[in-house]
This record gives sequence, C-alpha cells and structure tokens, in this order.
Amino acid sequence: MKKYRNLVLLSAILLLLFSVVCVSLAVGKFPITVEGLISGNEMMGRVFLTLRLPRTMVAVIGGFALGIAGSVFQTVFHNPLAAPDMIGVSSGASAGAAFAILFASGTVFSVGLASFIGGLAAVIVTLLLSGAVKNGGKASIVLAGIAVHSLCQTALMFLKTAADPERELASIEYWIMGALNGVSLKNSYVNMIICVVAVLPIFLLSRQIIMLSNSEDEAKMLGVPVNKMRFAVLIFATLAVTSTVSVTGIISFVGLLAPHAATLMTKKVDSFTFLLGGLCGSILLTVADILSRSIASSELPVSIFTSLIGAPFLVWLIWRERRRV
Amino acid sequence: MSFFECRNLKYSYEKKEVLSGVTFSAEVGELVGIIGANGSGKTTLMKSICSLLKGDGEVVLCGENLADKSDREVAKIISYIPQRSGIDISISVLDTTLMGFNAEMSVLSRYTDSQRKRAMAALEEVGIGHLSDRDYQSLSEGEKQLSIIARSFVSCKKMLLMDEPESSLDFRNRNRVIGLIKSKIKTMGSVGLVCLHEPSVALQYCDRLVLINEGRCIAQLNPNENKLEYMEEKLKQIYGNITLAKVNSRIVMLPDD
Amino acid sequence: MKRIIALLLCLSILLSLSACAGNKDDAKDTTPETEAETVDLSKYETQYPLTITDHLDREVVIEAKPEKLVSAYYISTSVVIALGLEDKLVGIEAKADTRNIYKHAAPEIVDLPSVGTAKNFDVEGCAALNPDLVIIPVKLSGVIEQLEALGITVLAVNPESSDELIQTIVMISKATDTFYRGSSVITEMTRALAKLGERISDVEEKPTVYLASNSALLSTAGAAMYQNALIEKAGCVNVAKDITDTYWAEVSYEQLLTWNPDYIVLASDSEYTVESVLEDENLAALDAVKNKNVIKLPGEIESWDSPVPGSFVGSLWLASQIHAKEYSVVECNSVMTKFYKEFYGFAPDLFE
Repeated sequence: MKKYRNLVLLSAILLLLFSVVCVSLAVGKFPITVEGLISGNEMMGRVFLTLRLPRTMVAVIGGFALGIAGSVFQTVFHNPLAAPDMIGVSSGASAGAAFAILFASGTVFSVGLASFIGGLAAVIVTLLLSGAVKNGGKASIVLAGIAVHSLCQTALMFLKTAADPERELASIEYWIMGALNGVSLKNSYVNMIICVVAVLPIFLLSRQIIMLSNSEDEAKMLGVPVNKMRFAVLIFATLAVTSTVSVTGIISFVGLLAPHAATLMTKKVDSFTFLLGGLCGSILLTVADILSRSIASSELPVSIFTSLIGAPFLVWLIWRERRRV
Repeated sequence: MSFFECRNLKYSYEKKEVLSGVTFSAEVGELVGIIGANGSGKTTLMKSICSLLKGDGEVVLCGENLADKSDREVAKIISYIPQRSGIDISISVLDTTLMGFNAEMSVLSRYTDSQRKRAMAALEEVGIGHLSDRDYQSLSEGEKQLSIIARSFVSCKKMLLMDEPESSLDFRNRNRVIGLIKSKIKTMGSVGLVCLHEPSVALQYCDRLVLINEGRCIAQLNPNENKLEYMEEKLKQIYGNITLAKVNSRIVMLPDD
Repeated sequence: MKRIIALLLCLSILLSLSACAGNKDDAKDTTPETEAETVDLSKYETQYPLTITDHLDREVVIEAKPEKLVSAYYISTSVVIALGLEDKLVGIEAKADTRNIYKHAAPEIVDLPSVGTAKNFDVEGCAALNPDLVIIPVKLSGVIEQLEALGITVLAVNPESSDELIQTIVMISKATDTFYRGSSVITEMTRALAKLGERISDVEEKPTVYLASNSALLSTAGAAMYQNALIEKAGCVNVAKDITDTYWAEVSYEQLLTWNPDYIVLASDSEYTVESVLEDENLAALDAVKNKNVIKLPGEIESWDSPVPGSFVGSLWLASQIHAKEYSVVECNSVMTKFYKEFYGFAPDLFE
C-alpha cells in the first residue's frame, strides 16, 4: 500500500518537474522553435545547447542539491528551521564572491572559484572548530557555525564598505540575491558534475542520516559512527550547496522549504522523502528562474521568486494538514 | 568467570569523581537492577559500561574486555535503551524498530524483507504491532517506550542496558514489559542491566540488585536468597528509614514512619 | 541688432531657467548663441541675497557670495571646477583620488578633507570646515536638517539627466556669482551637440548599441538612464531602450544574442576588458564581436557616462567612432580641447 502510494506521488512530482523543465526550455529571450532546432538552424542550436539547456540544468540540479542539503541539515541538527546557511556555507561563499569582485576583477571564473572555496572553507573551519570541543556534539557545531557565519558576515561588510558604490557594490548585492542569467555551458558544467557527485553519497547514506535523528548516545549504541557520519554528510551537503551557489549566487528558501514540502507529502521521513525533497527543490528553483527571466524586461534576482512562491505554498500545505486533523 | 564483570570502574567529570570504583558481576539470563538515589551515579555507570563514557577500570562481557572493542563492535553486542528516544522527526514506528539492525548492516545497505518481518514480530511481542505504520511522534510516551524496547529485541545482543524503562509506562504495561524483558533475556542468552528508579520494582523482578551510593557499589543483593534483614540494612544506607515486607512471596519496600 | 536680440533671447531663456531651477519639467533647449560683440556682464551678476529653489524644491537663501564651498558629489565638484571655483573648495567627496579629472584640472583638491560618500556623510567634519555653501546630492537629503541646525546653507542637486545637469550648473553658478561662466558652459555643451545632431541627421539607419556597465557585461542601462541619452545623442539606438529599470539592469546572454547590437560599448570604468568580451565564447555569434565593434568609452579625463559637464564629449567621441564619415575624430578632438582648456584649464590627450 505504502509502495503504491509512493509510486503515485513520485510519478506526479516527476510529471510536474518534466512540465516545468519543458516550459523552462521554451522560455527565453532568444527565439528558439522546435522546428528550427529540428531543421538544424545553427544559431538556435548553439543558443539552446550553450545557454538555454545549461540554465535549465543548473536550475534543476542546483534546486535538487539545495533541497537535499536542506533535508540533511534539518535532520542532522534536529532543527526544522535549519538551512544550509547554518554552518556558514552561504556567508562564506558570499565573502568569497565579494573578495573576487573587488580584487580579482569579478570575472565569472574568479567569482565562481572564490565563492566555492569560501563556502567550503567556512564549513571546514566550523567542523574543525567544533571537533576541537571535547564531547561537543551537535551543539558545538551550531555554535561554531554561528561564529564562522559572523566572521564571514564581518568580512563581507568590510568588503562592501571598500567596494565602489558605483561599480562593485551593485555586483556584490546582485550576486547575493542569486541569478541564473549568466549561466552558460562552459561556466557551469564543472560545478554541476561536482554537484551530482556530491548528492549521490547523500542518497546512499540516507538511512544513516535518518538514524542521526536519534540522540547521540542512542545513535552510537545503534552502531552509527556519529561524529564521522555527521562530518561526512555535512561535507557532502556543503559541496552540493557550494557548487550550486558558486554558479548562481545565494538562493534563499529552497533549502528550507523543499524538505518540509516533501515531509508534508509523504507524512513520514525515509529515503524516499529525501528524493522528493530534492525534486521539490528542482521544481521550485526552475519555476522561480522562469519567472525571473520572463516577468520584467530585465532579469530579476531569483531569490525574490523562490520566496514568493515558496512561502504561500508552505502555508497552503500546512493549512491542508490542519483541516484533516 | 561470570558472564559479565565490571571491575573498579571509575569516571571523573570536571575534577569530580562520579564513579569511585564500582565492581560487580552478573550471570547469563539475569536481570540486574541498579538502584541508588538521584545523583548517585547510576546513569554514569550505565554509560561507562557500554563505552559511551570512557573511564577507568575493566568491563568484561563473555570473557572479552570491552575496552579492546571498537564502538561498532560494542554496538553489536550491547543494546542501550534510553529513558526517552531522541527521535524528533516523523518516522514510522516500524522504521524506528528497524534501526535496531544497524550495527550488523553495512553503511550502504537497505533493510531486507526478512528484517522487516522480524521487526514486526518484535513489535507484536511488545504489543504494539497494530501501530507499526503510525508516525512515531504521534504515539504516547508509553507506546514510544515500547517501540524502542522492541528495537532492542530485533537482534541478538549479549547485554541489554536500560535506563529507567519503567518511568513512562503505566502500571499494567510496566508489569508486562519487565516480564517480557526478563523472558527475552533468557531466550537470547544475555544479561540485562536496568537502572531503576523504584526499588520495589527492582526487588520484585530483578535477580540481582546492585546498590550504588556516592559512586560506589555498596552491596549486591539477591532477593531470592538474601534475608530480608540483610537487604533492609543495606537499603537503609541509601533510602534512610525503610522496611521490607513480603507480600504474596513478593518483596516490597515501604517507608518506616 | 539681430545679434543683440539673439543674445537677449538667450539670456532671457537662461534667466527663466534659473528662476525655476528645481522644476522638473523639461527645460527648453537653449538656442545656439551667436558670438556677441559686446557682452553686458552686469546682467549676469548675482544680486545677493539670492533665493534658489533646489532639486528638493527647497527655497535656499544665499545671503552673500560664498567663499568656502563643500561639494559632496563628484558631479557637482566637476561643475565647481568648470566654473573656476576650485580654489574656493574646502571639502569634497570621498575617493577623490580616483577621479582623473581632478588630477588634470585641479590636483590640489585631492588633498582636501573628505566629507564622506553618497551614502555616508560626515556632518561634523563638514561643519568643522566652516563652509558658506554645501552642495549635496539629493540622496543625502537626510543630513540637511543637521547642517541647517548648525547654520550651514545647503543646496541639494540631482544631476541625473541632461536637463537636470543644466539646472544644476545654473543653480551653482548663480549661487556663486559665476553665472556668465556657467551659461558659457551650457552654451558650449548645447552648441556642440546641436552641431553633431546636424551632421548625423541624414543618417538613415541608426546603428544599435549595447552599453555594458562598469560592474558586468550583462548589466546595461535602459531608457530611463542617462546613458541612454548619451547613446541617442550620438545618433545611435540603445538596444535596451525597452527596459524600464531606473538603475542598471541585468540581462542574459540570450537577450544579448537576440538584440544582436551593431556595437558594444563598455562603460569607461569597467573592470573587464574589450579582449575578454571578444574572447567570450557565448558572444562569438554577435555581429559586434565578429566585426570587432567592441569599444570602450574613454575615461582618462572623466566618466562621460554620467552627467558631468563634459559628458557631451562622450557622445561626440561615440559618434566619431560609429559615424566616422559624418563626424570625425579631429572635430571631436578640437571641441574637446576647446572645452577642457576653457573651463578646466588643461589640454587633454587627443584621440586617434
């Protein structure tokens, strides 16, 4: 019964994702038609392969990564409000990006690299810091995360004040709000590969991640190598997030909302919920990106739409549950 | 040599000695009750025995020193049932029970059908088979406790450690559950160590009582063999003025006004 | 007789402009001033006390000719220099050492105390300089109350379009009794642009231009921004004219490919280079890249893509690059040299 229900749910979500992807591939400023592509129009083909398709892929893969990372963080930290931001990945990446914009002429490559390193470094410092605390447990990770987050925010503030308000500051702010307008095949395929490679172990370890929802003593006595597992899983989640945001900038809400949407649909958490969370993230980010490039004459930051869509959707899901009970 | 032996177990926390050298032993099939006042070190003792806390002294189970074993190997032979599970996500009761198999599974493997069957059987055993598909969070405290007890029944362990399992169970269930644990221990061929809040419960069910006071084991009592006066004398050291009485061949502890 | 009438006509238009300075309606274009044989300078003199309506619709009373000026905006500072008042400056905006124009025209002002940025104004520091007049951008309107409480006269300007620039020049020159020079600046600007307009009026197909911002290639200016006027005055069409954002707008590669502009112009302070644009794989299909029509607005003198007095030269230069047949670089150079020599006191490097 449960398996049947899951199958139906999965099919529905996949269908939705498929439709959204089709819309995303069809929408864009450059006129591309199916006939044109089939007949071998070179320009259309080029734009489709190097711009339209990669942009959609980044939205799907990136959204998936953010959704799964959200599930991981919420389970590991026993906190339904946890988001990948908690242990410094977003603020670290932002500080890295700001640094590149100011000191490395803000090219796509330098910003991507610097934000990737920034996000990863912030999390590693957090984990090492918390590891230094004997028997700290997850509380020490959270505390270290707050410390690292504050440090990165301070660095960011510093960089912002040094930035030229006529030039660099606008770039920094725009990057922080998240956008997929500059995505091309060349500047995103490496990141997407890393992202997929990072997401896979999370799936494989989903059973262990769920076991981390026990108290630490329980988990240890159930045979889970708690510290190592937590470390590994957080690193994978961070890699997934950081490889995404180094292409898109900071995208808010997806990591927070997608896991809850999945839990509300499946009622109980298991590996399938993780998959669903990822797919919900994909759908959310792809829809948000479609809107950000089609609503106005210029490109709008994508985080505006992830929040605009996400918040009411969450309210609706909760409301639906209330009436049932 | 005994099935289980703990010798001179010490543990200090922030320069304070919580366990000052606890020594006792137990045989296979026995249910050992660890009793003492609040703060006497019961829980610390329990955690030290299963290597959750690393202190000094020796713990030997089935002839093997636990200090030589990795955390995972310890998890394979010891089952720890806390007072309350920390699970805070919505997860099916069956899935919580299945967690008991983890120590013998590889990190990447999934639960098999035969494991699911055994988990269901364990849930039936403790009497909540009908709740297997429910959300763990929606269960009452007592039902939750039964669920994590079932979790410890799914695979064969040499020792079951329980931290005040009776605290969240009502009178009827408490009876049933402790009886269940006793028989399970015998069939599994293991030893059960249970921290108990209520000395009467210990006196009723346990084959052996270990009295802990200020980090020391001050006595090992055997309700079936020891004389009431002897036991009374030892228990007075912890509980003050009490009296022991036999009711229907069961021993109860009453305050002596 | 005709000439005197023409002069009086000019004068009355300029005077009427100054009377409604701060009025955001479109100011009428001044007609080109023909050379006057005798100029009655007394008509240009400012009578103190003078009341000016600034760009915040405030009635500002200037009691006497200001001797100490503070300018908190690089555009108004450039205006001040153009009016020959650099010696009266006692305080200027922050990051003055990054402005090339100061190095050329008034290098000593770079060492003047800074009164802060467009976001952060130092009220105390400004007061300590004991200025007679403080010129601020309207963005800093929050500090007006504090400054006035200290008895300091504040003029708020908003030079974000050509008309507003002209109004700003009128306001500041009237306030400082340099109105003759101010109107000369305006006349020169207007005349040069009118001449350019004549030359390119016959061009049938206006080439399309994409202007990329300082911060990123994919960031451009829509119709509401000053840069749009710069492009249009140079006889070109801004591909991004349908964008309504009042600030730099982000676009995608796809959008740029769809527009397929004839020319790509990089803003003068851009971090990235023309080479990086030409080498960008995603842009290889653009006509502008194929024909190597990617140019960068010169910035050695001033940031012409913002409404500084000399920004009209930006249009002249752009026209000389794009409409080389109708408007030559030689002509651009001669107008530019005359302007900067006359009003800024230095001879700029010529373009090839």
